[in-house]
Amino acid sequence: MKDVYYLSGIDWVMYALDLSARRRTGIGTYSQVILDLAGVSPARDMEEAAAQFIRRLPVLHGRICRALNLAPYWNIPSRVLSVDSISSSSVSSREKALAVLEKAVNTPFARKDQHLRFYSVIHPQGSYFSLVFDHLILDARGAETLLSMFNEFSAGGKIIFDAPVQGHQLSAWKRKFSAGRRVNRFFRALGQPAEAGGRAGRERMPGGAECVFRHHTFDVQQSRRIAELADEKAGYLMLMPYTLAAVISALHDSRLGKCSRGGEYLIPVNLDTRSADKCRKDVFFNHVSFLFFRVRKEDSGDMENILATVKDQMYGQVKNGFPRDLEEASLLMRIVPARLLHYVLGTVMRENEAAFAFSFNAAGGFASAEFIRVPVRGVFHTPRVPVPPGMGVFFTRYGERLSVVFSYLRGMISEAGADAVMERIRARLLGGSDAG
Amino acid sequence: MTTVEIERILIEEIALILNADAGALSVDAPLHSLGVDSMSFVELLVFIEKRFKLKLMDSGLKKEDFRTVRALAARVSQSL
Repeated sequence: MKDVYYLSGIDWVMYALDLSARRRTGIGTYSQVILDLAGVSPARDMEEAAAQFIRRLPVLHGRICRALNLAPYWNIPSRVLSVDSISSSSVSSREKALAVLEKAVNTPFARKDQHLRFYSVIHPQGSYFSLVFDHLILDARGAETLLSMFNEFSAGGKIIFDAPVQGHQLSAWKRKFSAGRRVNRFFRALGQPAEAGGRAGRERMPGGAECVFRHHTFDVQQSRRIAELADEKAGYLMLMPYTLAAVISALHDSRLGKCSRGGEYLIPVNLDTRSADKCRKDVFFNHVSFLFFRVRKEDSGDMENILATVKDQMYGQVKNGFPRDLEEASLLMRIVPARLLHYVLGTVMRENEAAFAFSFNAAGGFASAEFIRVPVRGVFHTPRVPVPPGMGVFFTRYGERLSVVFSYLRGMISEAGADAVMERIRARLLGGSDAG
Repeated sequence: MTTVEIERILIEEIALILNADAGALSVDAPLHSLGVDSMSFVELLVFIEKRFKLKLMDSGLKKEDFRTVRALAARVSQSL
């Protein structure tokens, strides 16, 4: 077959994780990107634009199929028959608006071929516009880029939508197997089963499991202060390691995050190093890289120790080509049926249970100062976390402003406990030792 | 190897890492304004270690040494 999009290895892993999430929580690997707007966009403009925009993108209504060569591909329908594009509402406070958006990302899509939905929620101080999306079709920066394209489209801009195309990559087997061996060795070296007692890991969550979010956007002054502290303590351009170290320290002090029997926290981190231009070229599917950090519990009370460990491991993994090996090795996994891969990944994840998930979205996916003629105050993401670990911390940069979201399965942590975690993360980022 | 040659090598590598056009990258622009972030910066440091046999990550260099490609090339040139 020509002119189709064969899934990458990372896309296939996301599919297996999606199956896993559906079995454990009843909902797939959804996420949401939210624009905080200082006003309200005209509803009619938005609704019409959303319907037209989605209708022009049949790729958003595809499904996974297997080709005769056994490589999975994204089957794109020739046309879109029905469009369920946007849900609009108005509430009496900002908090209630965020509650609507929390519910939005915890609600399964109505149809199997639906992979995104827009939400507009008006509150007295302005409005939120969000895109709830399925990770099968978009990663975080891809979703921001799609919002950016929607913004241009609704302003009358001409957008040419080329269906994504990618080859099957069914060659160079020796190289893929060598990469697979190295990745296997890496995970074996990581592997120490987690301590017993965690509740989010193994069992199916009865009756579905909602994710709850705590969100904070730093103002420009605070965001600059955090960047200066990252420069000073972690080094030039080391904002991601600095934020990760702050989160490890805060969760350690909150006595959260599962630790291995060997006394280490394991943190998978996903990163997207694409330029904004590259995001435009590859809007759809998954283009993230993964790094894995191990930090000893006894070192986790001290930011300097954590930073040294994180930087050292980051350098080592990049130098050894781990992200590239993982990408190559994951291409092999596409041959494995998704249900079997879900089982294999479940075993690997039990042997290497993460303390929490972490990601840092660089600026540039959505960079416009206005959305449908309304000023944008901030951009942040509220992803449903992978289970296990059932909790995660996610950073987003929009212009100079930094946002942080703490996401966890309802019931894992008390409301007061989650507030305390956010307070500790904020304090650590701003150079404080403890928020009390 | 001259500093200008090192600048050219570094620009080509940054373009490769960022998937950008080398011709559009200025040697005098701050690295972050070119789109270099934590991960791509580490990739650049690893490249410098492999290409020039210099480990800059823990060498106690000042922030100013990394500010632009020109500054970085000068620092690499001094250390060769």
